Parts: sequence; structure tokens; C-alpha cells
Amino acid sequence: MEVGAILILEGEVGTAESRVPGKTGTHSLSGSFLPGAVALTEVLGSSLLEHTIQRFVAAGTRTIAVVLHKGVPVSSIRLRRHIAHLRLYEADETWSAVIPILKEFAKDGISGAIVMKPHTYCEPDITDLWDFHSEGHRPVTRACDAAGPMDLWVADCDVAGQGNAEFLKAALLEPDLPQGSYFVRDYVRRITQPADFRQLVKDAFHARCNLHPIGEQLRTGIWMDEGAQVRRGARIVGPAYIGRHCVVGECTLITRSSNVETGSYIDYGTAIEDSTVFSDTYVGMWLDVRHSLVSANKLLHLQRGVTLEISDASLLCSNAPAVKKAIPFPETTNSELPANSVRDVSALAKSRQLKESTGLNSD
Amino acid sequence: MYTSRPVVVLQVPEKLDKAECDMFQKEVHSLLEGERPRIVLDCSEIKRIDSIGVEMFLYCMDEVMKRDGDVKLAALSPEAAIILELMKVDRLFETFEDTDEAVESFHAFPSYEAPAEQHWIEGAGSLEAAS
Repeated sequence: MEVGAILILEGEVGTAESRVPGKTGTHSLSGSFLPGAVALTEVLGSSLLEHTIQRFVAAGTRTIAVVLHKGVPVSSIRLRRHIAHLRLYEADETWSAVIPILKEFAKDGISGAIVMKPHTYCEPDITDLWDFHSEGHRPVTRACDAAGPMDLWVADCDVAGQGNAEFLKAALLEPDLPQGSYFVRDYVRRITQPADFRQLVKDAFHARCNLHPIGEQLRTGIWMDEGAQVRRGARIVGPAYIGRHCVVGECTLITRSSNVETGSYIDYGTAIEDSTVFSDTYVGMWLDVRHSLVSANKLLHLQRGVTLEISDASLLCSNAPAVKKAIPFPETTNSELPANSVRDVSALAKSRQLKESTGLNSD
Repeated sequence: MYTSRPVVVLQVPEKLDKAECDMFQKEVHSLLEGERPRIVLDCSEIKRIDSIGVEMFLYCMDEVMKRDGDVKLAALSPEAAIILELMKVDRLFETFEDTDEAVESFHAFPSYEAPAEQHWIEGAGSLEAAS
């Protein structure tokens, strides 16, 4: 019995919608601290979306649909693997896309689908989740954990195929936790504020979850991805992660569960301690970045709870000339999805011609 | 004898760009004629600070130190405090919640001017201070 997956990327760029009460506030992601959608933000070498896809592929899922809100550019989806498994859809209202996709899955002989928003990182046992759903004989099963309902459902494709679309949609959008929900006992981290990224990284480094940094573990607790350069006199004290094509300058120090993501540049003499440097960020010379998240020219100090936007490019910036000069971004290592691979869900509902357009490039 | 010299409180402008810093440095320079200047920089109005502003603080510190004085920072906003920490200069300055506290700190009896009376007792192979 085949089970597919539908991953929904919704919301504006740099935002995450949360249904968890009390989790939004001064430091919520709605302040557009991040340059891209939450699910597309890199954590230890891959986006949350890719980590999620990886888990589905590992569990044997062969058909994975990604529904993009139209505000999220296709070019922002940079996947390193598993592209062959993907079907990409674009919709104004992401939820409206789910039912047509379930119908399409039903036509392809797929019995059920796991629907989720990958801005929550979780590691449920997918086989167990499907078995629980099958035994309950319900069209939709929602997952929850100790903090409440999660943005994770299992839906029957057959129900959608039999014309019960409205019923299924209502069940999916039910805000309260229905009876017979599946309780996730495994690791769950809701990413509702930037600090959650930091916690996820620490949990990964300390093996509290199964998220593994991409790249090679050079020494115990020190991971380095392809093309990363560590210059003379730099010290990396594990656990730490240096992402693809990063440059760690001379006499720098990276320590205390810090991660430097793809294409970032840490300049001479700077110390990065208990911090996350997001992708394509330049961190200037002789700085002391502690207990912080840094993304382009923004810095969030987690202990003081203050976000700064720094206009001085010698301190922090994005795409600094030094970065562009030092870091070649070879297109071959970065599998961006071509824009013409996206399917319009409204077209799917009207003309049902989607079967022809499965031509995604594969790695 | 302990003498009380005046403490000058200077309001730091809200935007520390190049032009403002140059003007402010001139203002600081005019206060440096006396001996051992004591300056409190009131940072309560700072809205934006970057490396130029930090360099200006360091210039003040440098000039005052040359004259055996001291400069202290008061009412730093969290943003300014983070920039100082980021540029590793936070440990160079004494910082206070407000200007009153900073001024008071200058009037506290400095330990080096009135050393506590100490009698040293030579014990069996060790030296210890008697209170």
C-alpha cells in the first residue's frame, strides 16, 4: 500500500504561521528576520523542507508533492537530493491545493497521504502513523504532541477521489484536536521564532534528535561541508558545523554548538560562540558574536532578546564583495528547481492535465 | 586628602554618523584641558550606532586615559550594548543604568587613594593579611 506526502509551504517570505498560543511575540519570525520562508531556511546544511523530504524518502515514500504559496519563489527551493521524488505545485491558497492533489494521488493508486507543513521539524514514525490511521477507519487523522495539535495529518486519497472533497477539507482544517488523534512521542520542534532554530541545532549536535549535519565529520563533533575553507590559525571547537563554500578566516574561533551555513564568510579574528550564522552572511573582522542568530545584516541576541539591523557593512552584511569574490557558487552543486517545473493547482482542478507535466530535473 | 573634582555629563547624539562624531569629538576635546577629566557619556538618546560610534567612544577613552582621567557610559540601550559586545569593547568601559549612578561612581572613595591599613604577620612559611 503506497503512501504519498504533501508538504505545504505557506505564508509570506520570512514568516511562519503558528497555531501554538503564546509562541508569537517580539521575536516571532513575522518580523522577517530570515530572508526566506522558514521551511526553506538552512539548518546544518539542508533546509527544513529537505530534511523532511529526506525522512519521507527514508521511510519509503516515493511520491512527494510540495505546494508552494505564490509568494515563495521557486528559485528559493534549493535541494541537494531527492528531486526525482518531487512534484511541485503553486497555489494562491495552499490549502485549496490539497484536495486536487489527493485526487491525483488516488488516480495514481496511492491510498493515503501524509500532509504537513515543514516549518515544524518532527520525526514521527511514518509507518506507525499510517497504521494508526488505517486502524481508526477515519478519513483524516491529525497528529499532536504534548504542546497540542501539530500541522501534520494523514488523509485518505480514496475519500477525495470519491467526491467527498468538502468533507475532507473540513476535517483537515478543523482547528481543534479531534478524538482519535495520533500522539507523537518522538522529537518535535516547532519553529515559531528564530530561537527555535538555535535550539534545533543544539539538539542535533547533542543527538537529542535524528537531524544529522550534511557533510563530513572531520573530528568528533566537527562537521564540514563541501568547499568549506578554514584558514590558518582558525580554531573550531566542536560541536560545530561549517557549511558549503563557507570561509572561516584566519585567527577565528567557532565554538559552543555554533553553525555557519552555506556561503557565509567569517572574517579575520572573529569569534562565533553559541550562535547560528545563516546562509550568505558576511561577519566582519575582530567581532565577538555570542548567543546570537545572524542573518545578512540582522543580528538577534538571544539573551538580551533584541534584534538589530546593522547598516555598517564592515560588521555584518549580505553578499559582501569579499564573499562574492571568495566563494564561487558552482551551479552543478546547487540543484535549483527550474521555474517551468511548477504546476498551477487551479489548472489542475480545471483541466486535469497534470500527469504530463512531471518533468523535474533529477540530481 | 581626597578632593572632589567635577564630573562632566555629556549627551551623546542620537545618530552617531561621521559628521556627528567629529562634532562630538571636538566637544570632548574642549573638556580635556583640566587635569584628570571625569566624563560620563549619557547614551540614552542613541538610536543608531555602528563602528564609527564605537571608534568615537574609544577615542574619548584614549584621550581621557592619557590625562589620567576616566570615562563612563550611562543609560546604554540594549542595541548599543550589543554593538559594544560585538566589537569586544564592552569590557573597556564601566557602564551604568543612568547618569546619576555613573556620576555617583566617581564620588565613591577610590581604594587606591586611601589604602586599608594592613599588618602583615609572618607565619610559618606563609604571609596572610590581618584585618
